[in-house]
Amino acid sequence: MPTISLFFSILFRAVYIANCYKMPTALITGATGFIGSQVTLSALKAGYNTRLVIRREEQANKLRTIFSQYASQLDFAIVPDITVAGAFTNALQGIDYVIHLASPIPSAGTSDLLTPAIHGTVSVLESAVKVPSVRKVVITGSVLSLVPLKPIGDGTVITGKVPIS
Amino acid sequence: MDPGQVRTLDPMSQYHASKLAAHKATLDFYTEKKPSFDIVTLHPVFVYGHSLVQETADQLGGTNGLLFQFLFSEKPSAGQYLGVHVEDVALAHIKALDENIRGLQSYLLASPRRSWSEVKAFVQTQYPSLPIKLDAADDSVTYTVDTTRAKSDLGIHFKGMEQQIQDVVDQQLKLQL
Repeated sequence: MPTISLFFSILFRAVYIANCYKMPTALITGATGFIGSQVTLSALKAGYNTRLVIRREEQANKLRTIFSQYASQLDFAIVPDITVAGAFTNALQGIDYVIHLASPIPSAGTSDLLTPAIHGTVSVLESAVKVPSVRKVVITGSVLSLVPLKPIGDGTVITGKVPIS
Repeated sequence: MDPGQVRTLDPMSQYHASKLAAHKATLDFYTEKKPSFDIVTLHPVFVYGHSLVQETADQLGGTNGLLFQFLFSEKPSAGQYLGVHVEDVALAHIKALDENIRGLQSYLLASPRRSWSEVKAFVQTQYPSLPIKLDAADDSVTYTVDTTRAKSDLGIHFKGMEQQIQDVVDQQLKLQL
């Protein structure tokens, strides 16, 4: 019965497409990094669609290879400098969740870590405010975001309630 | 924080200052702008585990590289072993998307602290031919991290030091072949 099989094939296709639209999309920065790549894998495994923010076009090739099993859930947005105001405006269109991992790490010859760390974070948040579809922003800091700059020791318990100055 | 003053600090303190400043910027943004979306901030200690992006042995770097430095130095620059498995950190990001996590929330991510003596004993048993230099005579507790909320809200059962070290060392040994 070709009509019945055609009916089911269309039905399955429709259900499949509907499911694709239902699954939220997460924009992820820092996906080329050690933590970001594992976060991306977990998001893909959980069924989310992902849009990976990269600085250069070529970075997409390696990520496509690593996540080849999930090609249909992968999308890329090129943002050469995330610290520029409005850098994320286009990339954020249609995004439900933002996962922001990109941040400077100490390396020789870096004179200023402070500006990119602050501007990278604020730029994502400021752009997200303008995009109504964004429901949540997850930002990866470090335990150090909650530890005072002066030396600590003697079994201090870090609870996250440390005043920040 | 004054950027000019921060530039005079050593690289690790500069990094530390950048983390404090970025987090403060997030808190200020939430208070001032009252966004319609939720914000979750995650705060891992040293992150260890299998790397999906490392292709060769000499690309060992970041925190996994630091772990090797700790194992192969007589006196590690950190007073104790404080780590979290990269897969637990990844999981925390996905659990943070749950719609029950609302408003502004921050979570510390860490497995229980361990002494360098315990680390040395584990590595020597697991990898008897690995010539580690770790001299763990001077065990100290610098700080511990309260992860109660990550366990209860995000449902994370943190993988311990053994799993973290094994996943780093196994990958590195395989890449060195």
